[in-house]
Amino acid sequence: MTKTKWMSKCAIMAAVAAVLMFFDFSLPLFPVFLKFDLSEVPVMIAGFALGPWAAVTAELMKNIIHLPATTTMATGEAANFIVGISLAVPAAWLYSCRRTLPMAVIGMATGVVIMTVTGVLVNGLIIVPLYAKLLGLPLETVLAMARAANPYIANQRDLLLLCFAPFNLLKGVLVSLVTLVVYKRVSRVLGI
Amino acid sequence: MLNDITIGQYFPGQSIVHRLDPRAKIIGLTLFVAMVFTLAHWPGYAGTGAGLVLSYVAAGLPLRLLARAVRPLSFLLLFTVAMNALMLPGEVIWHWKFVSVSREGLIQGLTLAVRLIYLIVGSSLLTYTTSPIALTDALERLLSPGRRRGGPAHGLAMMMSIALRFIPTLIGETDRIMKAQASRGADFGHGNIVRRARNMLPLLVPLFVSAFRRADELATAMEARCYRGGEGRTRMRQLKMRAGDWVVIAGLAILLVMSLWMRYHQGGGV
Repeated sequence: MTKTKWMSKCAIMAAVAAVLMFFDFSLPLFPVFLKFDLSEVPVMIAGFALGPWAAVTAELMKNIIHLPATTTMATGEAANFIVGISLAVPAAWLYSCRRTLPMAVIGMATGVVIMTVTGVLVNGLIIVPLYAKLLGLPLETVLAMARAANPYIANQRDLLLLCFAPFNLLKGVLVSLVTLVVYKRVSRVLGI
Repeated sequence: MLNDITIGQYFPGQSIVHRLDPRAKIIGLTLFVAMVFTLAHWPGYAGTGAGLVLSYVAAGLPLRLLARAVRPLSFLLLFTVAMNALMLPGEVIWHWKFVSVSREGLIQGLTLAVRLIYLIVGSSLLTYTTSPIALTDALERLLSPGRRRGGPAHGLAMMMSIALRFIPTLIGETDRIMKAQASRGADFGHGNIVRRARNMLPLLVPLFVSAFRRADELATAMEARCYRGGEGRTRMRQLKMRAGDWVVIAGLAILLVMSLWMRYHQGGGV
């Protein structure tokens, strides 16, 4: 594949991701600042078709494009970038070593595990405290937002284990399943 | 639903703000953001607000755009003010049953809300008066100041331009596919999360196939016109910093220093 083809495909996958990012919705049992969308699917497909670097590039562009529409002072976009590449890069890298269906599944399973752990660490240590600080909210109000959705959340550790961990796990599994089905059909049509 | 997406929020024009070099506008916005975070006294807040309104007038933008920029944040603003007013301890100025509003909390909530409004209005001024293409050009130049062209900054900027150019096309495409599938009985936006994700499949597969085809055609078209990366590329519109651009940067830098000075030498601010 020429470099120009790589660039145009990667860019258009980022554009698809940016469009899909606007179809986001909140989930029951999760606070409003955790939004679910399928914008990781084009990033994963870019990673599978073009290699791990394409996944990083597409993820970065998707979040830059979404930046003017941020409702979280860019912290949500930063979190989305880190969590997104921690899913797509391991999956794309393992798949690029051997392009078979079992390898794709192993790659995505690894990606989901890494993504869940990264999601908990990054959100707990950096993003949530930063979000609270930038908005001038005490951490307690972020907990209150989470408690409104899930009454079992009592402290910050609960927030990480009952909120971020299951959210990222669910998101990773769903995105992987959708990617698997879509990539199979798309690659059959296009012969990539 | 698809018409609400506000990516193409550029308002073409010939005003003095439109004609500034996009690099000057990006550097100026960075200085402005830093300044908003250092504001501490009411003259600073009032002056910044007046300055923003004047810039919108100078840019020839209708003032209702101010409201349009703030609207997506309205829930967050209300939440910030309410939470600070209710949660922070301090002198109670309003009390009803178990709810009490503190003076300190209300002031902090309002200043935070004003800062958020200034930030969003300031950055919207950039996106209202600068085309996405000019923005990516400027970013490319700012990211690779030493090299004239080429390097990773060029590739990234070119890809950003492609992505921004194709978003409206893809939105149109998505809309078309959704209508086509809905007429065959597809249902988007109902049911639980698994069903929702499953229902997206008849939308996603044609969308990806057409996106990849477009990417292929675009790459062929670029190669047919001898695109070979940033090396030795010339452009029709050259970015050029003029005196006015330096004045804007210098002016905002002076305002930042003044704001810092007021914060640390006068004390007692919020």
